[in-house]
Amino acid sequence: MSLLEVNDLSIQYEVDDDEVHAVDGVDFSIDRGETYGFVGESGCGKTTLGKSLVHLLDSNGFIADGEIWFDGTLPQWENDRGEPRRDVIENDQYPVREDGKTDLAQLDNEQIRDVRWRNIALIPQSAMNALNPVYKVGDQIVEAIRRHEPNTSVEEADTRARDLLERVGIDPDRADDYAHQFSGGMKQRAVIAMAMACNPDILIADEPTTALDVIIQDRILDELDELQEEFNVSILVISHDISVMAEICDQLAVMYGGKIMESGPKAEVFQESANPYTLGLKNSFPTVKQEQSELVSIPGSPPTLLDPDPGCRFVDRCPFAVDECESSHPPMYDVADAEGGRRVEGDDEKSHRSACYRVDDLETMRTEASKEETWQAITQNH
Amino acid sequence: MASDHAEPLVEVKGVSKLFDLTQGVTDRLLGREANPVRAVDDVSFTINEGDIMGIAGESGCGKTTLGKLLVRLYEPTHGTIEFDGMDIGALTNEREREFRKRVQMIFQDPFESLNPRMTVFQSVMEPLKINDIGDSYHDRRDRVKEVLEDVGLAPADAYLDEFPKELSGGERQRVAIARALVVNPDFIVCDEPVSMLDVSIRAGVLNLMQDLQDEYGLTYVFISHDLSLIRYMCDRTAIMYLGDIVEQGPTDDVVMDPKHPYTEALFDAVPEIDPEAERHRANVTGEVPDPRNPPSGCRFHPRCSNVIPPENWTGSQDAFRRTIQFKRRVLTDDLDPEEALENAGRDSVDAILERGLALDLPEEHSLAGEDSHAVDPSAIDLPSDAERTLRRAAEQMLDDDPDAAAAELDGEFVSICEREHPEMRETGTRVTACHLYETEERDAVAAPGSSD
Repeated sequence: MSLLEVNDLSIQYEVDDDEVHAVDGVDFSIDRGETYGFVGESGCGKTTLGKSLVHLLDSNGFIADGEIWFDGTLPQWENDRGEPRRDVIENDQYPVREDGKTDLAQLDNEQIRDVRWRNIALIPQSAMNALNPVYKVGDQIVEAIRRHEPNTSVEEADTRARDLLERVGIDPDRADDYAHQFSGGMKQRAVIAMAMACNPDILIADEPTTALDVIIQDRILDELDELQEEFNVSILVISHDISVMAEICDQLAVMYGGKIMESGPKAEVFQESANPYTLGLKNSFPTVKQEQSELVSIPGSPPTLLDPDPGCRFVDRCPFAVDECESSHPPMYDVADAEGGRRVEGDDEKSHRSACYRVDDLETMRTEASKEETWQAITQNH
Repeated sequence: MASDHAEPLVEVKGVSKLFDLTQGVTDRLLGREANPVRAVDDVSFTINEGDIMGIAGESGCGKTTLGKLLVRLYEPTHGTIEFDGMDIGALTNEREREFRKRVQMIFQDPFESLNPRMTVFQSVMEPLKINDIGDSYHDRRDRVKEVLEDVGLAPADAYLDEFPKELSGGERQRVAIARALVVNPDFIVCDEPVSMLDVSIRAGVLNLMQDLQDEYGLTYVFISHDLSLIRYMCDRTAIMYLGDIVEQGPTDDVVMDPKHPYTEALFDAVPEIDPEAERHRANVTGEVPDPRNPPSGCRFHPRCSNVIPPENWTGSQDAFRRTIQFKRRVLTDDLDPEEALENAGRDSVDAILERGLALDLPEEHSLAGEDSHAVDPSAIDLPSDAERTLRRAAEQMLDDDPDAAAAELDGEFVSICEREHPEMRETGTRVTACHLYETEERDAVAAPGSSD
């Protein structure tokens, strides 16, 4: 059974009198112990998506639609065995359904606090600046533990904080230091330790290595891997860096303009890409050690998400666009069926799916997408 | 592009740049010496005409400082830089004006490098005005339009009166490139030119830079922390570490067959996009040390997996690396006996060895059962006399006499890497600063310029 199941999630920001459709009708699910990646360019909605799961959106952002079913519930709704109480499930007042999952989207601010950190922890973007400069690093972890597990004594929390630091490769004595005494990589490790403080089920890592040098990045990725193995925690990684994703994810979703364009097992998404955007993205990304081929960029720039047109979000930059693409954003089609030339909507969130009307014409798309002329033709048409 | 008979355009000879040369107020009151940061330390290399020279390294390695030295935004503390045969530190006013016209720089962040209150036309025309190029307004306007179209901002008329805020990131960086190109330079230093741009836009700007190179006959220096970009763009690459160039040579050779252990670690650390690619984790410990107080000898030796044992060492390479680490921990007061005991809860001397010999390494390079804070000493191939010395030092640590422990180890286990700063020397197509490559020719000449 999946640990997190997100259905048709839409998030909007209110800007003046308009609405920015930052995330629009996104479905995905995460299993226990799995690493799920969201990759996309700036402004595609990936960070918004991550923050919305634990209600950390900016004040003008809100969940407009959709459900976030999480396998677990609030302490006050649990029975002695840690399962949701029967009366809570049966009472429609509570957002808890038959299989024991709770809809996080319906919780209020007070309630979500019990889920945050205890069940779902967030490692924010630029974690380097996430530590408070005027408190000792250890004390900040103690604070987090005691806020979410009020029954823990200070001494106990302090011991746990030191253990956590040691676990991520920091000398436990450094718990008495301030953030400015840490190097960049150590700050990142400390923030990871902090996120692990209450032994969460899901870790949301937003650009976990973006500000770090490659060697430190390498170590942090290794560290995340080990933590996952040890605690069987699920990790939701958000990044713009395809190569980082290729390294750590099990499942991958490619986002563009607030929509998931393609998703599925990592290897399939990378090696049998079935969406024009993914194909274009791969073309524009250099590799270090493999044969060097000419990079091809995707002309144009990402769409503004202020009241977007009904058509496919990528239509303006897509060399394969047909009239149908202008009508509405395509649903997620199953790629395995599409390989056989059939266009069938895919229901299985774990299988390889692509949002493209021309998915039944994969062969042509893949061949054409590797050519520079294909992409340049768009500039001339506009 | 990189031809062997090309003329050198820029020759950097023994250049250093030190910051904070003067004492601060507190230093003066306390009578302390000034402790400068050696951002760039005795660097020599040559850039040939028509080449793209890449400078890569982690943050704080001095690559941006070196770039600024090349365009004379900084004056070198020592050494000279020659551009087309002229020493750029000793130019007459007239020559300097010519130099400023022939050499341009493109900065990292197009959101900050363009004046928000100037239109595209004003920004791009400014260098023409300053350098007194073009006879009339119309002349200059035509030149600006031509360059804008060259950088892919066509039709130019649509962009001329736009302000930077109306442009996307890719367009802004193209304006920044146009502004550098408008004076028809020979040499452009690009400092992380695409790191602020989205992936799908990036490739367009990189390809543009390559096309312009042919069209304008340019020589580039391309500074980046992103090694895959360096691989894509550059003919030759120099890898920097803590102000030193540790390796330079043709990019393909440097990437595919790195000589210096640091270069190897650096490229091992880059994730590969192909999920089936064979990956090794970087075999280095710790992080880049403080540039104010860099390690002696080879700057990389405390983190290096290949630190060279003295001739009388009979143990393994790994054992020596651990011994050096132990010694360094004792000398820098980084080994706390109480803590080691607390964690181990067993025979005290063993506990200290256990901790002091442990290396913080990725799993594939560490010993079985090792974590960053403890390793089983018996699993290490330590020569017995070395082990005795380490045990004596550990005992003194236990007696709360760290100075005696330091004295015990000081002068023992001395690696050449620790004692001598390696000279740049040619190994094949490369120039490498590493003692591993100088065993046969101890008396080799110092600092050759380029391997061409």
